[in-house]
Amino acid sequence: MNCAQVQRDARRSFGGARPASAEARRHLDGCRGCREALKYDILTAELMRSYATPRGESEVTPSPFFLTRLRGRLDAERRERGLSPWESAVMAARGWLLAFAAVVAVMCAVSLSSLRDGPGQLDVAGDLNAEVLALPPGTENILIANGESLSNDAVLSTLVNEENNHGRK
Amino acid sequence: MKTAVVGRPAAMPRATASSQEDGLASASPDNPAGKAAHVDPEDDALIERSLGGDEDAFAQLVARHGRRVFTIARHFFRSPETVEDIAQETFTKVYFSLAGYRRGASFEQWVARIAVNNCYDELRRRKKRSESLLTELAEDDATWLETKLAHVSFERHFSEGERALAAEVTDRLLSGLSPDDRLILVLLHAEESSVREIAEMLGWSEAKVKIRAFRARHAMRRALERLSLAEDRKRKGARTQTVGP
Repeated sequence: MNCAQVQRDARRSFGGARPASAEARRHLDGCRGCREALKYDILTAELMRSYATPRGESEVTPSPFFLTRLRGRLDAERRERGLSPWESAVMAARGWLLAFAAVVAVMCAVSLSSLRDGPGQLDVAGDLNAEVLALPPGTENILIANGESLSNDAVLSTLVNEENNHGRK
Repeated sequence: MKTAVVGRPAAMPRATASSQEDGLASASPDNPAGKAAHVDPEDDALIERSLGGDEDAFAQLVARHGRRVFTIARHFFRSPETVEDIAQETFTKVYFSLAGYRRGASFEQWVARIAVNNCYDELRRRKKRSESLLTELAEDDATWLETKLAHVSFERHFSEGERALAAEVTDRLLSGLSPDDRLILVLLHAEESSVREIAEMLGWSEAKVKIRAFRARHAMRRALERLSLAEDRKRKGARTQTVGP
């Protein structure tokens, strides 16, 4: 075999056509020119073999827990694949649904809080009224200007006096 | 664990849907390929039982073909976690596609094809995430590579001690290649598949495989040349510094 034939044969083998012939391999090891021409291909093949060779048997042997983990995954996949279309849709949108539910909950809480504050103020006014109404008849005060208060009797006597004075005039 | 598989796989998406989009063959056994196309009647019996809901039968199938799947995944990836993930993904797809498997074809090849397609998908996912950024080698690694380039031999293989270093260097070199180039290089040199086997496995024409193989080797050559040039520049720089004031 001459150099051209050897190189053609070797290149075919690197391309996966067929393994290089024994004659070509012998030639390559003795021919510097051919080695130089094919050095990248030869090195690539050798590097790839090194890369793919396992460092130990454990690298290509499933671990004792592999089957357990696989069963877990199959169960999960089965559950996921076994859902009806609407269940799948709910599962897909569950994040949005949760966010929406949270917003609704916050809004309800705020509304309830404001409703509770309103009646509270009314109650205060109601309490004041109740306090006035609860006074004994003889001591009932009447609010007048400037925040002063007078008893019912004092108001009546004032009005009677004023009427008398007016009559005299 | 006794859940029937019957009927379920037919409603499932195809095991290799994403790969099919890119022209890769599906895991259908209608296109048998591979090295030793032997059909094991025991596999068929276990498949029948699995389809009837016998989970132990499926566990036996996993035990029989687990090593093959792990080996394929290991040819593509060095991380044990990734290898196990690929194996899990493969057997999950096998489980849910079991009803579509045609009895009489080689189950091992069918599983192998799903595993290869999963590895290819993972390579593409990694490329999209741009995980591979490595271009420079440590000085010792580059020197070692230079020596190997200068003394290549068909007959002399790397020693046991050299293999670890070679694997590290290759990891860096491969990280710069496209998923297609990596796929072809692994199938050619690690799986040691022929053009015809690769064509049948991936659903490509033989001409396409040859062109891809040529491109992949060319890409690897350029990567090696770049490293050699970088090493030369480093040496020249070091010499200039030594000679300079």
